[in-house]
Amino acid sequence: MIHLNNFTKRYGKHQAPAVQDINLEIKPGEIFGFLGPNGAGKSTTIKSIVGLLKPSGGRITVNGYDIEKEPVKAKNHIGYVPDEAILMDKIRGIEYLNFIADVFSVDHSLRKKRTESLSEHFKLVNALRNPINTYSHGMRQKLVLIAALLHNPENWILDEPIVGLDPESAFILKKMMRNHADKGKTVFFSTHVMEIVDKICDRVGIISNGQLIFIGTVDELRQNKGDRSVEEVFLEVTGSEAENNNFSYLDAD
Amino acid sequence: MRLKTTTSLISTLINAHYGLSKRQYQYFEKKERIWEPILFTGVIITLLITLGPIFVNLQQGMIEEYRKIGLEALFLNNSIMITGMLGFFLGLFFVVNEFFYTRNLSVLVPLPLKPKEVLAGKLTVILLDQIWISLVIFLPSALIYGVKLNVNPVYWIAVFVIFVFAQFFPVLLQTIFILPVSRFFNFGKHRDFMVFFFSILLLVGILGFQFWISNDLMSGDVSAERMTEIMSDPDNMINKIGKAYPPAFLGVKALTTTGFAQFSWLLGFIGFHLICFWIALLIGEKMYYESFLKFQDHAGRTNKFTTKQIYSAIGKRRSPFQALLSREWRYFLRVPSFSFNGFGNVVIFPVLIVIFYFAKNNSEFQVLFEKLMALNRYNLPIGALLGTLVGGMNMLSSTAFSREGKLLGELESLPISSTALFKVKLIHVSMISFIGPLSASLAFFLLFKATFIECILMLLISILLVLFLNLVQILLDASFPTLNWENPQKAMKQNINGLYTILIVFGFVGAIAFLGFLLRDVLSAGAMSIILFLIGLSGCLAFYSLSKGAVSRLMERDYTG
Repeated sequence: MIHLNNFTKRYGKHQAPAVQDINLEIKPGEIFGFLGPNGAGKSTTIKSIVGLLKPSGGRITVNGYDIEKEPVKAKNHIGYVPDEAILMDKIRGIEYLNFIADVFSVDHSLRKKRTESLSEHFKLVNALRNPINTYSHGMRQKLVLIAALLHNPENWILDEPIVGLDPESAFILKKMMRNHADKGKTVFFSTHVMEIVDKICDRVGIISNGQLIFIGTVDELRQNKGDRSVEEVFLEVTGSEAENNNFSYLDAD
Repeated sequence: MRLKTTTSLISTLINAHYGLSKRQYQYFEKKERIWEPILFTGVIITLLITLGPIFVNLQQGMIEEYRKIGLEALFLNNSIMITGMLGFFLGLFFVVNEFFYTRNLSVLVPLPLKPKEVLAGKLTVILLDQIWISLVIFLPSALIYGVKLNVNPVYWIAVFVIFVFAQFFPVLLQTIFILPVSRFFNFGKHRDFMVFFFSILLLVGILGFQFWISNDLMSGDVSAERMTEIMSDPDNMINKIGKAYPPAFLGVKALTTTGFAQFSWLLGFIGFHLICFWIALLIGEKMYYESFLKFQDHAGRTNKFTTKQIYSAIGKRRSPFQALLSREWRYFLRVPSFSFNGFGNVVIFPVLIVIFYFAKNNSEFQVLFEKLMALNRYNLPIGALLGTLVGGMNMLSSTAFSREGKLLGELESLPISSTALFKVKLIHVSMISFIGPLSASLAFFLLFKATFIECILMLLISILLVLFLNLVQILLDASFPTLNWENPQKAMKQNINGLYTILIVFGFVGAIAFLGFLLRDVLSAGAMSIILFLIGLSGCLAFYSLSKGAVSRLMERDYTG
């Protein structure tokens, strides 16, 4: 369970807030899609939830633990996939997973079982012995995913997790997200792919210019704006004028 | 601190830092780049064979000199102090980079790790990285001293302990200083620059303190009476040194006393360093994550950018070559570890000249100065070689492509020729490295009464020689660049090409100087200068095409990101 109470993030005292007064509760058993245009504040929010950024105001709790006051306890309940698969390049994939399992105190037999199953599902078994710097972008993304799920955390926090995955792995991940939520746990993820939002999200939140402008189910979003596609509704809610723009100027010269 | 978690973290960080698994995979499984360890071992063995005997002789001579005046303990003291001082100089940027700029923090911070555990891991990596200084400076001196003076067995235990702990004090002092500074001061947009600036300030402060202490020791008086007074009470001298550098004081006591006292001093030495480590962890617990998180606060929401501002920011149209040169300068100036290291290497000499200029009337410098003045008929070749040495050691030409790292992919994808890129790199490194010849000429003009014409010729010859050495180093870096790094410091100081630079530049200048010394009765200063000019000219002509070709091959090879 993740709670954001009046969460505000300001980069520098005199800067306008990147995220302002967000109140959000991600309940157990739901997949929550976090949407918004580039620079709206999605990654800032996610990075603050996992402790990579310090909130300027308000409070964030994970399973009841305040991320600022009890960071180690809060982080124990999180599996985080960042927007960019940053890894320690010079170690082997299997060494990285072992390190993560050590940090989360995953039992030896359990870590073997989970490493085997996850790497087989994501077709990464044969690459695990190689150094991470030999991995492709997609393989790195898969390794980050496996590492995030290895300790079977209650809260999955995924920042654009589908980017870079092949169709089969993307399908597996979506299925895993559904299973995880069905077991009464939480999935909080950001994405730009409206099709995924439409198919798997129980609820969505739309952030624009640092403010949460919509929160509810996909159906509620549609009902508010007439029976249109999620993409069209998203563009309208975020104030985009892309639909009416004329893009012929590039070819005009 | 949880032992199991911390152990796992430390071993992973060490593995990642030194690329142990990657190297094992590369050399033993893929059988690639096997020449690397062979070449490295070859260089080390060559250095040991050529410089080893000279070093041992020099050290034995120094011990003998100190022994004559009953101050042999000072030999060990100097060795520990130099090891520590080098630790301050060489480790400074590395400490800052490892704490705040390494990308692995993005991996570590979201994990349930305590700041103390992460700090312990990072400090271990830094200390391991720095231990080579103790290996090169302290260990050989301590070994030679021990063998020559036939010391007791506890001495060897003390040597091992001091060897292991010698880098603790400089690294921990930097940590204890830099964490609060980064935490409490809001540097805003100039954050990177200010952190490096404050670090330099610390360094200057330490040097000033050392200078003050050494002045205090001698009180500027090197008279026979003063020397007799010092020799009559060597312990007093050592005690005074304790004020300047406590680890040296404790270390010397642990090495030179006997029995229970020796054991106590050794425990004192260990205790002192463990307390420093503990204080660093304590400060780290309170401030490390706070400081790190503050460092992330730099990507503020962009303010509205008006059309007028866009038009003004776009600026005038430049040629691709000008754009590339401007990019080279901006990239260099905006990455503090590049600019500080790059400028530092060539600017240190002009700073020394200023110090020397103001101190030349000091009695300690007077003798040295007079000896150098006696050689002033060789002003031109000596000045040219000095300028070459200072300019050649810029470390920028030997990292010209390594500093690009993964950005080399960006350059490869742009419609620019490899020749343009080569020229841009050469112009950039030359502009900085020519500070060396310029300051050497100025030094000879101010200090050694070289004529104006001599200085101009000195400048021209050394510029030519520096250009030649720059071309050789660019050839080396274009052929074997270190592109896979996450910390800019690795592209500079931890780049193997830097080691080769030292060998190339010192080897070249040393060999020429040695030949000049041998032929001093046969060749006049003018003839020597003409030969230097011809070497520079022919070297430039030969290596220009070779280096250009290497850059072209680098740009054509497969980009593996």
